[in-house]
Amino acid sequence: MLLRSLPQTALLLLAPALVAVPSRLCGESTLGIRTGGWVRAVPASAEVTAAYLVLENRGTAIETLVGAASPACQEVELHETVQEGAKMRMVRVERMEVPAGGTLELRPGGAHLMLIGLRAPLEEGSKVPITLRFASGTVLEVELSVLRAAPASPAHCHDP
Amino acid sequence: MRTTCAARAGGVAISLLLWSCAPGTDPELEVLTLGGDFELASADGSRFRLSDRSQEVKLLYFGYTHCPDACPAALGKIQEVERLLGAKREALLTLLVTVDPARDSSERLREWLDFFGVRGLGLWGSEQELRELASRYGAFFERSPQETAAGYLVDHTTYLFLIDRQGRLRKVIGSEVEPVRIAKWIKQLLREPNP
Repeated sequence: MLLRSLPQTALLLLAPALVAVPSRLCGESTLGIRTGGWVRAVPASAEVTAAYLVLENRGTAIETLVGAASPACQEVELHETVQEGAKMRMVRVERMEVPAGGTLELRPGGAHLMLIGLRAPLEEGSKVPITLRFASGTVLEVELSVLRAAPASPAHCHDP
Repeated sequence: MRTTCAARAGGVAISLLLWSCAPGTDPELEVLTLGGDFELASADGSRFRLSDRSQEVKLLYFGYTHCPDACPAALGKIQEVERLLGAKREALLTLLVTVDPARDSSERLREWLDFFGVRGLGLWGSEQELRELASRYGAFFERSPQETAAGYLVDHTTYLFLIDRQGRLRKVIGSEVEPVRIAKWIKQLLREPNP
């Protein structure tokens, strides 16, 4: 158990340096992601997993996420986990809005990207490229690290 | 005893002091009327019966391996609970009961427990067995009508059911409860006499 958890702990400590490097730097674009985005590591036989990230919209208009794709899997769907009383439901949605000057948080127990039909087992610590498509035509390429659990405290994307 | 407890409790609330001095009297862990003994298929092909495992406190969870969000999070939480229990982790047994018997084998459930490093058993039953068990514990599951490339998803409750060594349900734990609190409850149950 100790041996099992040590590399994981080390990974968590390094996480801010490892995760989520969007191809367009956050500070230079109106749309970007904060560091700390991640894909949940799952057993080799798993066919699905989830990706989490925080989208930031520095523009003056709403940006609407309408789709996503990744070479790591056959399909990426937008989903929300909704707690209805005691019951947890997964709701597939067609779009997710990132308010002007605001953020959209995809996190465990809430909105997330569902990666379906994984083509190969996801190695912990490896990176998964994901393309995010917005209604405005903007396409954002991101790379998220495969982690077992959320990084402790995702760093924010600061202005340069 | 009182001095020891007081010293241990430091300046925390009196209720917490009473709690740590008198295990078993915590109203938070009253014996609940839900639940009860049950039998399901285990990964090694044998039948698992709750009442056969009288040396361990159990955490019962209804989930499935095509669940991308809530179930891995629950297993991750149990992993953290085990870490917090330290040497006492051997006295905790997690029971992962599938709500997707069509796609989950008990072997597949075991793979999930192994992956998360959780000491537990994957349990499988017929749809009818599982429904009966879920309703006795106050859990619920149903296939979601939503269309998805994943085939189908299952809506379900995400409770952790805390069961004492005598097989009695003692706490229904919501997904918002922190691992440290769950570990505390488990330690408390382990301090109770086990006839």
